[in-house]
Amino acid sequence: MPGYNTLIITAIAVFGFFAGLYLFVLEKREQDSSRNMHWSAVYLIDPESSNMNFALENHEGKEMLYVYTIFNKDNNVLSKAEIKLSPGEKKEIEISYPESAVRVQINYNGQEKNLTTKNTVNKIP
Amino acid sequence: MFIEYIKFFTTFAAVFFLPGFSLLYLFRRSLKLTTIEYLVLSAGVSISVVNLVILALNKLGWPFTAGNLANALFLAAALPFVFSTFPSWKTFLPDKKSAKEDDKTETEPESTTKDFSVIPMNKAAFVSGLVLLAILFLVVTRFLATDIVPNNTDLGHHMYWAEIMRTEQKIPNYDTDEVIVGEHIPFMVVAAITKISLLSAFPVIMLFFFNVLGIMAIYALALRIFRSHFIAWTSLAFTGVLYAISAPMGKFVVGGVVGNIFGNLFIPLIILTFLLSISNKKSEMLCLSIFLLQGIFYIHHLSTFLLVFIIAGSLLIYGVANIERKSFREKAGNLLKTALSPLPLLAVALFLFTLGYVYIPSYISEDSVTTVAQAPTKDTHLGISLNSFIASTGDWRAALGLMGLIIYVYAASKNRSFSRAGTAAMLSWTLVLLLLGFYPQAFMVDLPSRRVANYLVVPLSILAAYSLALILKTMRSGIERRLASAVMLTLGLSLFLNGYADSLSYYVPQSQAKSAVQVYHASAYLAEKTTEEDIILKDHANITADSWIKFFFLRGYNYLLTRTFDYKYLDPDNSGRETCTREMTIAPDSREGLSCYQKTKTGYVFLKKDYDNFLFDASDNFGKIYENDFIVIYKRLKTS
Repeated sequence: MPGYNTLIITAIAVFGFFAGLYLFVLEKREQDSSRNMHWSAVYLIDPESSNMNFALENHEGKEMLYVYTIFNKDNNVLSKAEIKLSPGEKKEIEISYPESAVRVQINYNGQEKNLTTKNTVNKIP
Repeated sequence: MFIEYIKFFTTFAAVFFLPGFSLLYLFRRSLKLTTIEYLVLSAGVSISVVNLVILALNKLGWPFTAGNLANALFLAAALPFVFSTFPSWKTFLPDKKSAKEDDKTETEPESTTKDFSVIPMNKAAFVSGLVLLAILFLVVTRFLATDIVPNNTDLGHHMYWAEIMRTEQKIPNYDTDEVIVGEHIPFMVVAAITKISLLSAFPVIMLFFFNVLGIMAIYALALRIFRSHFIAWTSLAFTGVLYAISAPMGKFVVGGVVGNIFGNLFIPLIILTFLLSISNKKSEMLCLSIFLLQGIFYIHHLSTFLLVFIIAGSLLIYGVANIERKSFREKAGNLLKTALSPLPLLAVALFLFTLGYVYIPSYISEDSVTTVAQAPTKDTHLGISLNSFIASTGDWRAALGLMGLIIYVYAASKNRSFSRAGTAAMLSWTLVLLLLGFYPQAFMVDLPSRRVANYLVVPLSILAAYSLALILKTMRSGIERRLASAVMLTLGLSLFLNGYADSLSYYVPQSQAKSAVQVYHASAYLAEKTTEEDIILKDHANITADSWIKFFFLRGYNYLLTRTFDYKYLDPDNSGRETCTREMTIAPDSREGLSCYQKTKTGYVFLKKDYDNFLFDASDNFGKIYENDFIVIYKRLKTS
């Protein structure tokens, strides 16, 4: 039978293995974007250009309906549309008014996000 | 996924045990170590070997590919094993029988040597140890689980360098002296061999394992000095179970305070090997001690600096304690003989060769040495207050530890059976750190007092264990049995509650994972959309995991401009502290803000959502190009 010192080392190895495994699995799960993380991201696809083509990413953990509204510099609505994204899905959206669009407002689940470009005359309300 | 984890565990074991174990195996007959000492020393020696091998590869210009790393480390692990089979080496080593005789003749007449002999573990000690280790793993794992997605500042800084090293496949050009190459090599090696991202749980898990090994090294050292399993396991309980989370333990693991974690492993190991070399006159032990010192020299300057003081103090106390003895000359002669034997001289030569021809750590510069070797000036370098020390150490541990120190000094001066070398090491370890932590002016050194005081936790924990052992012994023999049981129960409960309450105070109420993941997402976006010419400002004062942003850019440690905490902008000495990073964040359209934008050519601003971003939303000069629930990114539209 191995000595007590060896058994202590075996115990450290076993405890360490299971502790490490648990932490690995937990961290992987927490970084998993399709999980129930409750956040969304919107961003301009090409921030260097003057167009407002943008992307939407759903990390809410469930299917979400996003309503996006395009505004011109006078804060008038140019267009409004909606899109459904499943968990973890990303969608790129091309704006049909490349010259006059200066702001995109995205509404979902009672929240609002905005992307802006160029110099706006009317500020975001 | 599971295969990835298995790869991590096997790589960790192979890289951080085999090279050290094979070196220890060379001297197996003369070292006479316990299995636990083999474990902790293998880890310490392996880390030193790994750092040395990587520095050598870098010097030779061999890229750090997985193949090169694996082959070089395999060679480092295999060569000593092969060497140990050579007939000439076998004759050099004492055979088992003569080793025993040698041990007998060397140890018996010398009381200090006898004091360091190994005492076997009994069943009660084994069961106690097993329970303590189980609690240690449970408490720390539970704590780490609340914050396992990497987000802490120091960890972010270190993993940035490890990632640069991995991608460039060489030692990077460090443009800062705040970090040291050996803090990054172990992580780079595992990442390169396993292909697991450094932006994962593995760096924290690795630090956790090194922390446990450090705690086991404390156990091994306490066992050698006090020859009591109760004191050894109680020392482990005071460092890793009762106060498992406070600095420098769990909190440092999750925070990525890499140098301190390694320091807490190397300091007890170096003291242990140094003590064994003095008491047993073993040149192999002194060789190991020097090799380990070289290891920590390339990992953490503060630990190395403190170790030099501790060892010098130990020799001084040991000399003073023996000066009136007839055997003083003989002891001094033996020490000198051990130090001047081939193996320690070889270790010194290797150290000097590495320093002279292979790699000089960035902190070894005239400036750094001058900066440390001067009277302290900063408030945080003038010594910590007793209140603050007790609050961070834990009331019971501080009280028992200080009481233990007083009793130990008294008992050692009265009792001749105390090991003089052990006493010298314990006293030097505690007193040097007490002085440097509380009254650094005594040594004329300029070091952060709080960080020095963190090192004091270990010797105080050992002395607290000694103190507790004495209290229990006195009670058992001095007072009525039922009263003694009641007092012991109360003491035990108070200790448990004090230690556990201390640990609970560090648990984060909410995981930072959600914020950290959004910071990663925003960082990856901005890194993709910008080039090295773009100047980016980020807000360190409000953003979780902000030190990890540069991990996505890999464009230099100081590439991102950083707005920091308001108190850091205070400039009482009028030294010209820059304030642009603050002005550009809180008042982007003010005269000063605009001037700063022009001066720095900042093009992008990375902010926490709903913190300081209102003025950016209202400004004509910025467009919002990115938004998630935690981060917003603005692009500067005008250059005027």
